[in-house]
This record gives sequence, C-alpha cells and structure tokens, in this order.
Amino acid sequence: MLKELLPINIYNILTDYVNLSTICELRIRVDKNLSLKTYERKFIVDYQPTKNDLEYIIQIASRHSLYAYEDDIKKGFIRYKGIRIGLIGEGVTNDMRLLTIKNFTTLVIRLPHQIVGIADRFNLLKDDFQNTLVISPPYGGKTTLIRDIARILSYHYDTLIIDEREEIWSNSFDFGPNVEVFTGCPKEMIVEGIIRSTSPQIIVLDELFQKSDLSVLGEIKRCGIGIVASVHGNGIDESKKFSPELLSYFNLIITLSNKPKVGSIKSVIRL
Amino acid sequence: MIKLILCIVLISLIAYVGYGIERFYRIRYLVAKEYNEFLTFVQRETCFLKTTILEMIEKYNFTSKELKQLLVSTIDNSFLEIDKKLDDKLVFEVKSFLKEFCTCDYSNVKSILLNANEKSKILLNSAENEKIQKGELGRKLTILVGIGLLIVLI
Repeated sequence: MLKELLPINIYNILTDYVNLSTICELRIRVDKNLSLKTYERKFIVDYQPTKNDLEYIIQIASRHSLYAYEDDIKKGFIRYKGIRIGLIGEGVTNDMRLLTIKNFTTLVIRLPHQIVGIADRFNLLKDDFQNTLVISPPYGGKTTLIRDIARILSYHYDTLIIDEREEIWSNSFDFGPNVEVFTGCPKEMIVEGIIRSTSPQIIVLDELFQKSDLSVLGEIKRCGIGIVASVHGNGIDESKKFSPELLSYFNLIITLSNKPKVGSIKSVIRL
Repeated sequence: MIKLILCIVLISLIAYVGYGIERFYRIRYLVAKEYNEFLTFVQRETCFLKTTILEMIEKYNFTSKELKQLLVSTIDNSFLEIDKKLDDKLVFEVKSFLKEFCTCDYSNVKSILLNANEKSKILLNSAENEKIQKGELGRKLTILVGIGLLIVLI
C-alpha cells in the first residue's frame, strides 16, 4: 500500500531505513526531516519532503478527487485503503464554520496493523459477553485491541462494526464469518437504520469523541445489543471525571498505556 | 493489362487516402462528442454520489479508446500515450479540466463542470465543422482526383 501512496523517492529511502511492515506512523512535514515510528522506536530520516511530495500523496489518497473527500478533510483526515492520513494545514472558515483545509504542511500517516491473538486473554467475552470499553491515550493500541476483540466476537455473534473513519476494518484483515461493516458515516446518522435492518448482537464502535456518541450508546443499549468501544483517556478515574455517564454503559473497562510499550495493559476492571 | 492493374492500384490508393482523411476528422469529432457526454456523466456522478474521477473513468462506457487513454494518461502524468490523431485544443482542454477538477473542493465542482461543458460544446461544434468541411470534402475531392487520373490514364 505504501508503494502506491508514497512518491518513489520517499519509498526508496524508507525501504533503506526499516522493514516497511513494522512502520506504525509516518510524519511528512514540508521542508523538515521525515520522521517515522515503528513498534520499537522513532527514527528521524535524513530527507526533507517537498510541497510536491505532499501534494502527490494527497492526490493519490484522494484518488485524484479532492472534492469527494471534503467531509473527511473537514474532520482533518483522508482515508486510503485502511490507512488514515491526518492533515495539518491552513483552515478556511466562514461564520465560525470550518469549510475546508488548504495549504497542507504536514501529513501524519497512520498504518493499521492486525495482531491476531492480542485479545485472546479476553476470550471469555465470547461466552459471557459484557459491554466493553477500551481506554487509552493516543498511540496506545486501542484500535488494534478493539480489532482483535471484534475478530474473536465475529466468530460467535452477529457483529456489526460501525467504522466511521475506516480504522478498524480493512479487506486485508482477518475477521470471522459473522461480521458486517458500515464505514464512512457518523455513528449517530446511521445507528437507528442499521440496527433495524441488520439486527446485530454486538456493535463495535471506533473512537467515541463527541457528546452525540453518548446518545448512540444509549440507543444501542436500549435495544439490548452489546457494545465494544474505545475512547481516548489516561484511565478510568479521569474518564469518570470528564464523562461519568460514559462509564455507565459498560461493564468491562480495559485501560491501555503506551508505556513501557504500545499496547501495555494498565488495568482490567469489571463494574 | 498493365494499365488496368495500375488504374486499380491508383484508385485504391486514392480511395484509401480519402477514407483516411475522413476517418481522421471523424475520430476527432467522435472524441469531442464523447468528451461532452462524459462531462454530463461526471456532473451526475459528482454532484450526488461524490464518485471519484478514477471510478468514473472505470465506470463510463467509452466508445472511443482515445479519450479514455487521454484521461488516464493525464491523471498518471504519462503524456507519451496520447493519440496523435487528437486535436491539440481538445487535449489542452481535457488536461486543464482534469488539473482543476482533481484539486478542487466540492463547492467548486459545479462551476468547473459548467465551464468545461461550455468549452466542450465549442470544441464539438468546431470538430463537427471540420468533419464536414475537411473530412467529407477531402474524401470527395480524392475521389474526383482519382476519377480524373483514371480518365487521363485511359
């Protein structure tokens, strides 16, 4: 995927540096050294990407059709075959509304990985499912964990993944036979219709962020459907402080940390 | 006998040249016509479904391979494959359209398409005129020249 997405010069430099399959994140800044993160460490590469390099990546990622990704761009990212590209540039606003982002200066390319088996220790979820929330700071491994929980559950339950930002699902990932995926649409816009039309037993949600996500959780729970979700945070106490209502929807809270390494389990609490 | 064979060869050659001239202008006209129709398709697909340009090129049922080749090679930046038969003005117009279209935001799509549509109509009219004036005339003229030569030879 990286070969299609990156300009050939950057691709060649990266292949000289690391094994491409170990890259988790790439930061491409105009006229600043390229940086990349693997599972183990961070590298600063001796190459300064140009504006043309960024434009090339954006053109490829948007399939040469920026207009088709305007809603995503407003949210600060573009999706490309399961890769999420964060966009940093100059915002265009009108009446306190963000119309679009232009003059991109930095791209943050996050490469998803499926690590099959990391959720095996939560295997009991398949027999005695409990609504599960994964709390972690950014780059803590919550999406990778949720992806594996979804994989395990999809062998035993009718599992629906509502993947607003196409972070959990990719065609290349391994999932069970009972999985449906709805991508590219805010949760609150489709939850009612999709519950009525697909009757899932469990719904897996990507990152909860907005207040409206709480009403989505309420709707799902009211319908008697199980929930697996993730949220940014440092721990259960902090999450309780900022949003006490959030925790009331879940019975099992898994907290992750990126120290000592990405995906470290800090705590598992049953409420 | 030799004279007869020479006459047949000459007439075939001249008819081939005449047909070639007509075909050259007919292809130009068909490409211009298809470009105009493709823009209507693009308008429908982008304004409602936000289909990407690559998907549209894949989805559209092109009758002229020259236009498809032109669109694909412009997007890929591989200008080498552009057909020599195509009108320079049309090639320039398609390239300018794609350059704007590929980088514009959603609110500008309509105006870019409207502009491209107007320009494509002008190109279509001029291609149609060329097809009639140069293509068909060329064919008729070569036939006449052929008949003239035949009479002279006989």
